[in-house]
Amino acid sequence: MENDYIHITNWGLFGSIGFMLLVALVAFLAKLGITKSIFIGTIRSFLQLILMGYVLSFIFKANEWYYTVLIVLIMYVFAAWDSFKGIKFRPKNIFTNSFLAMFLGSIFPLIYMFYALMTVKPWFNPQYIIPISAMVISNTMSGISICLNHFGSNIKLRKLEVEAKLSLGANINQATEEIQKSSIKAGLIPTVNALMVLGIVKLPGMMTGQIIGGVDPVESVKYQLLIMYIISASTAVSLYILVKLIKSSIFNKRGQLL
Amino acid sequence: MSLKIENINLLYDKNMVLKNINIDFPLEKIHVLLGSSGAGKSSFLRLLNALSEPHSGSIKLGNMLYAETHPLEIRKRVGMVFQKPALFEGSVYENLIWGLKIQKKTINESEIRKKLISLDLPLEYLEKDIENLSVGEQQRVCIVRTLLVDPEIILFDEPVSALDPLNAYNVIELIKKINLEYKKTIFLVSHIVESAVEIADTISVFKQGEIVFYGSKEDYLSNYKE
Repeated sequence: MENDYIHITNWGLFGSIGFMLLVALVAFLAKLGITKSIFIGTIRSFLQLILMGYVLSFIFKANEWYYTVLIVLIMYVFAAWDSFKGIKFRPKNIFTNSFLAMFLGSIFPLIYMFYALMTVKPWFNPQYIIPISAMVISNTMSGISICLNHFGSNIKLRKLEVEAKLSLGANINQATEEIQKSSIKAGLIPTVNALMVLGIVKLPGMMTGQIIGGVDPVESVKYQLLIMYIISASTAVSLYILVKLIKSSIFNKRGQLL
Repeated sequence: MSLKIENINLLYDKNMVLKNINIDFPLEKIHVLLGSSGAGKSSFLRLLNALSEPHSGSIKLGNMLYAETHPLEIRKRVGMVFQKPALFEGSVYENLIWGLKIQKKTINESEIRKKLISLDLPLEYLEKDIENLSVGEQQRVCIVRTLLVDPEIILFDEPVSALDPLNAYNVIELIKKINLEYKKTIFLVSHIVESAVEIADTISVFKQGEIVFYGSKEDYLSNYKE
């Protein structure tokens, strides 16, 4: 049964652009003002994925550790960069902070998963390292974006509360504790919600892909569970690190709001 | 002891918000700051509360030089009540003890009750959720909360601007009481000039970032002309 799946023809792929035209039509009719973004997003995703297909194909054949490491690092950099796009809140060092939070929050869970739970061999095996890292990084990035947005708007909305707390003798951690908590929560809720509906409403991408590829559904469930749990762990740790880093960057050395 | 302000200049977005402020404020008095909006009064209070830093000049409270002291230490001696009631989620009691917990100060409940009574806040308010209080009551809770951490100076930044005339008058009276009973130095910015001037010991008039008049209430009433 392996590899016995329906191949999508180039015409089939081309036809899928019709879906995006539908999105653009809705955006146009509802005057959402995002038609241009939808257009660019469609082109970008198309080109990026096609390119990624060729790159992965090359890396799989080359089978060298440095290609795997390079690709994973590039993913972190792009994810850090994209995490604050479209968000008005831009505290200083936002790129570095986002990168560090994502990297530190996910690298240890990934190492544990690859080498303790899955025993990937050779250690850089791109077939496993690249797609799984990509899933973890992209989901963590979504959490980071939501968290950043929440933190930024709350610092603005609750500035009085923060300053009142400072005024009562609170340090910057105590003054922003509530905002930190609600921001982590906001970033984590989609992941937690996804866990709740897993298997009932949602058959996640990886599992679907494996099933279509002919893998035994029970085997693909195991993979998916591992993925969902590692995404939860990476997102939670990354968000925790992020708010601690961001919190420091919105105050000066004397603990005054910038 | 005094609060000595020397050559203070404050820049905000390349605009001079405060220019060359030099005043030696005696402690345990009520200092009323007057002036139109944007004249620099609130910016001045923020400097005193170490919520922002001057561009140049120095502030000295007794022997404590602001520039050499961590803002956390400054704010233990100088508290602030803001224009809008800045209460936190929870009950009145939780709000009242917030600053005490942060500053690791212990105070027994009877002390809190005593302060509430002396400042005309009914005891049954303690368990009330802050959402269920009127704006005037919320502002009173803010005042008591600041008083409980026991700073030497309390800064009031337009504390009555959101209140109706009767509540505003009551809060001004409360401020006077705090000065008299608890010997706190008060800085009061208020747009209700008459009642603020009435309780003042000194008046400072701000105009475009400068203090164009500083003197006693009597001096202000007899000599100051716009």
